[in-house]
Formats: sequence, C-alpha cells, structure tokens
Amino acid sequence: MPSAFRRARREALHILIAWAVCLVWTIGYCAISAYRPGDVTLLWGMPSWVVFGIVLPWLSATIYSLWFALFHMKDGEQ
Amino acid sequence: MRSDANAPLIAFVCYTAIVLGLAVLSNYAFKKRAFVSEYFLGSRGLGVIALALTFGATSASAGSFAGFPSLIYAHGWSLALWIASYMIFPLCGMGLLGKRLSIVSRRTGAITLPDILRARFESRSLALMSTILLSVLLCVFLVPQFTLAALIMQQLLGDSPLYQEAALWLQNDLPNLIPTGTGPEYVLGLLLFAILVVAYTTFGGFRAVVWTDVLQGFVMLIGVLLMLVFTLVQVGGLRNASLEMSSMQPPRLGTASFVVDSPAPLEGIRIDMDTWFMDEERLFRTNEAALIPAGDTESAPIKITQIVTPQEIARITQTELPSLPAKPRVGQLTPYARGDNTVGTYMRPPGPSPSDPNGFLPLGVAVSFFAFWALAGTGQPGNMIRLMAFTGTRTLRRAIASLAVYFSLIYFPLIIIFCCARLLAPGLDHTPDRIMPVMAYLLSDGAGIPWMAGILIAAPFAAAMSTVDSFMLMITSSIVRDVYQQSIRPEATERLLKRLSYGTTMLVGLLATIGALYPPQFLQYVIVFTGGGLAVAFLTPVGLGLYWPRFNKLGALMSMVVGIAVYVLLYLIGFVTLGNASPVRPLELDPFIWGLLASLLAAWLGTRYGRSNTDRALEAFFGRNDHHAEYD
Repeated sequence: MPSAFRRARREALHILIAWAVCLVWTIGYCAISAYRPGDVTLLWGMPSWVVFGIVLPWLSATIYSLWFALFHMKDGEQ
Repeated sequence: MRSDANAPLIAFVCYTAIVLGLAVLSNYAFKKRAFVSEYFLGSRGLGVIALALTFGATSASAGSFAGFPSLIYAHGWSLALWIASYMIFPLCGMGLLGKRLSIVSRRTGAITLPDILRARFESRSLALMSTILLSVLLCVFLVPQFTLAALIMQQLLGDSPLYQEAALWLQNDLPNLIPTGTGPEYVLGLLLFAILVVAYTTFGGFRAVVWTDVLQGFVMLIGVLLMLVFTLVQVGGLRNASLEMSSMQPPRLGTASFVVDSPAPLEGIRIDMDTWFMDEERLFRTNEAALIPAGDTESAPIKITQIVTPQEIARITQTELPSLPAKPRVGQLTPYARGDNTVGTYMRPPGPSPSDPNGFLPLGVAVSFFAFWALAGTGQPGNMIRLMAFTGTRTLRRAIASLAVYFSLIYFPLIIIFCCARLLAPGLDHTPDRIMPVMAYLLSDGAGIPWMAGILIAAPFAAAMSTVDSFMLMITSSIVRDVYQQSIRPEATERLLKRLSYGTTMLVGLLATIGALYPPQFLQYVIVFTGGGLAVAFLTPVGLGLYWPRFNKLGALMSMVVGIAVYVLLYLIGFVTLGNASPVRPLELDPFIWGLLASLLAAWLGTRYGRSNTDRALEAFFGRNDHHAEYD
C-alpha cells in the first residue's frame, strides 16, 4: 500500500501526462490541419480543425478530469 | 439616448447591495473565530461549490470578459487554439498541488504561501524574499486591474443619465481629482469600483471574498449562457455565422474628421459613435463620437473602420444609412499587416493582425499559451491560497469535477458568441474592447427584453471584482502575517492584528486607486508580465518543495532568483531592442517558458550543491518513512 505522499506524487505525474497528451493532440492536429493553406471546411457549424483539434480533446479532457477526480484520485488525510 | 439607459445602473446598485450584504454576514460569521486564520483563510472551511467557484472566478479576471472577447472579435477562430489549454486547467490548477498543499498547510499551520516555504526550508530569508516578491508583483498587478475595472464601469454605466450627472458634478466641484489624460467618467468609475471592493474586502475578509466569488461565478455563467442562446438565435445558427465569416476580409483602420460649410451653432454639431456613412462608394463606421465645436467648421479626427468585404457591404447597406449633418473627410487608411485582401482569414490561425505580419497566433506562440494558461495558472499564488482553504480531499475532488464542467460552459461559448459578434456588430475594429457591452445591449434589444442588458453586463463587473478582492487580501496577509507577525512582533494580539489587517487592506486599495488615476500604458502587457512573473517565482519552489524531499533551501532560493531574472531579462531586452513592452521570444516561446526552464535547472543545481534538509522539516512534509526512503 503506497503512502499518502507517494500516491499524491503519482497522481500529480498522471496529471502532467494528461496535460502533455492534450498539448500533443491539440497543437499537433492544429499544426497539421489548421495552419495549412486551403479551404476551411465546416463541421457542426465550426471550422473542422476546431472540432477535431479543440472540441474533441476538450471533451476528452473534461471526461478524463471527471473520471480522475471522482473515481481515480484517493482521499488523503482530512 | 437609449430608453433602457438606466438598466446597467440598476443592475449595479442591486449587485452592490448584495455584495455588501455578504460582507456584513461574513463579518458576523468570523467574530467568534480566531481572527488571522478566519480573515485570511476562512478557517479552512471551503466546501465544493465555494472552492470551485472561488477558484474559477479568481482565475477569470477582468481580461476574460473584456480583453478575451475583444481578441475573439479581432482575430476570429484562432482564439479557440489560444485558450485551448483551459480544457485541462481545472485538473492541473487544482489537482497538481491541491492535495499536498492542503495536507502540509494543516500539518504546519501555514496560512500564507511564505508560511509554507518557511516551514519547508526553515529559512526566514527565503520567506522574506517570497513575501517581498509577492507583495511587489501583486501591487503592480492591481493597478491595471483597477484601470480595466474603471474602464468597464465607464463603458457599462456611461449611457446612464445619473452617471453622467455625477461625472459632471465631479468635473465641476472636484476638478483636482481628475488628472490630465483621464476624464470624469473614468475617475467616477474608478472611485465607485474602488470604494465597493475595498469596503467588502476589508470588512468581510476571505470569507466575504469567497462568498462574493460564488455569486460572481453564477452571474458569469448565467450571463454567458444567456448570451449564447440569444446570439445563435439572432445570427440564424452557428453554421450560417461561420459561412458569413468565411467570406470576410479584415477591414481597414483610419481616421476621419467632419466638416461643415458654415460655422457650427452654439450647441455644436455631433456625429455619434458607431454611425455608418459612405464616402466615394466606400462604407465606414465611426468608432468614436465627433464634435464640431460652436463657431468651428471641422471636428478633430476620430477613429473609423472601413468595411471591405462585398457581402458585408451589401448586407449593411440594405437598410438606409443615416444622413449626416456634416461631410466626412477621410484620412489615411491602414491595411492589416496580415490578412489584408485575404478571404477566410478569421477562420484559421494565425489569424489576421493589424500590426504583426506573422499574424496573431504563430505556432510557437500557440505552444507557449498552451503551457502558459495551464502551468502559469497552477503557479498563481492566488490559486494556491485557495488550495489551503478547503475542508478535505473529497471537497477538492468534487471541486475539480465541477470546475472542469464550469470552464467548458464559460470559455467555449465565449468563442462562439464573439465570433458571431462580427456579424451582429461589424465595424468596431478600432475599439474592440467595447464589444462586450455592445453585444449585451444588442442581444437584449434583439430579443425584445432590454432590461436583460443589466444582467448580461453584470458579468464583467463580477469578473473584475472577484480577482481584485483576492489579490488585495493576499497583499494584506503578506504584510500583516509574514512581515509583522512572523518577523517583527510574534506576540501581537488578535485585536492589533485585526486593526492592522483592516488598515492595510484599505491602504492597498487606496494605493491601487491612486496608481489607476494615472493609468499605465500597455495594460495587457503589465497583466501578462506580472501574472507570468508570479508563476515563474513560485511554481518551482512550491511544486518541488511539495513533491521532492531532496529539494533544499539553496535549490529553492536559486530557482526563485534565476527564474525571475531570466524572465525579467527577456522583457528588458525586448524593451531595449524592440522599443516597446513586448519581450523577446527565442524560438517564438514566451519568456514564461524560458523562466520556468531556468528555474527548474537552477533548482536542480542548487539542490545538488546545497545542504541537506533537517529531519524535522521533512517529517512535517513527507512523513517519517517517505523522506528516508527517498534519500536512501
């Protein structure tokens, strides 16, 4: 059973990895798709790069945040 | 004058009454508790909603409801990428440090951030240095926040006859209060804002700040969601708005004066702000009011915007334009440095820019901002303090979940609303800071419920107040707790500390008001500079202090000094070489990133060559077993 400190540190590491995944997804997709010259196609009324590069990672990050906070993160000392 | 011109004033008065009521309740609540812990930390009693909304409202400063909308209006969909790291900010901002900060602040009895550093490194010099850095940077930060708040008040209440009468009284009876370069409307807005914020913060302390933050958080959410619905209805759906936007080209910005053949009558001749006019088959909109004084034949030059997109011109000229009492004389028009004559430039990054040929958001800058919002937000002392004030980890976990949903409901709708604003309120490109109140009026008029403007414009009030109050209290806690109580007079009585706290909060408010009477140039740069500076100074020492047992006093000192030195140096080089407030950005990366990297490197070097920590400090932070295991 890991101590409260080690558990908190591991959770912090998971959060940093989540941030890095969001960075790679968002910046990576936008660098390839949004910065490239050409016509902008619309999806759900928005530019498609916004849907795939911002809206989807945003939704995923929100769902991950909810799961992480409500189910994965352990209570520490009160 | 608008028929509903007093609606914002009525909203403001109601809002003021509620905020002051909360301060009185808060003051009553802390009478029976230990003063210092209650006044600065609310006796660590924040629940889920209070923690989530005070964190959210403090993060969303005046910039979120004045600067951010104006940027969206000016640069289009690029802003979705610019703000994108808010998708993960609630998890980073609260989750990275929250649990550990809460636990160690309870164990050590820490009330302020310097308290935490003092306990961790057993160093008075480090605590004193952090207190000085914190106080100086926060004081600098407060001045542009007060200035922005005064501008918001002026824009929102300026149409009200009562406000205009009060401004006139100020000008006639107290002219010495109005420095050159400002007007009575601005000074009146500043005084109203300052008196209200100083009163409830001084009287109510941390608990009042949190309660008002909760109120402000709900006001912001309701305001944004109402605006989103009204906007989508009035533009005929998002798809329609995006199709129109994809045909737009950036306008041209310039000046014009207005002339008449014979001298103007006694009352002068006035051409209102936002008036459309044609000149040589070109369509323009005034962005300021023009006045030809009595006896004169020409007005001073005013800012104008020329619409160049054919579809927009056709749409706007479908309705008859007003006939003007004077002839326009259009001066030189300046095309955008990036995006001129380019269709669809509002639809993708880097977006149009009037001044930068690389556009608003080159890729390197986008990377910087992705790091900046999430990591610099985590390193803000104002946010860290809130992480020392909740009831337990269960509260933290639920607050993270609530804030993740809350920010999604605030920031993404703002992008949609103010992209659509280009259709609903075209031609404000010379003064885009006005777009928030302009949209509030436009949407509520369009929906046939003009009084709704009062509710919509309460959001910027709320955002400005919720940031300023927290920072004022932090400066007070730094001075009273970290300097006076810890270093000068540890045996000071509660009564003395209470008086000193009240006095200091009022003094800080007074100084910020005086500073804002002479508003600094480059407001946005001052805000970004101080916000980044605070994060560079505190993120590494606090973060590593909480998670790395080996991290020692020398490492903490070096990380703070080297990080802030590199950060300031990049701004100074920019100031000297570029001649303005922009920093140099090696590899297009913001000075915050370089400052943070330098801070981490210095922390590692300092820890390698510095003395080890004592067992006492380590046990308080890591427990008996863990710190030995880390060293072994």
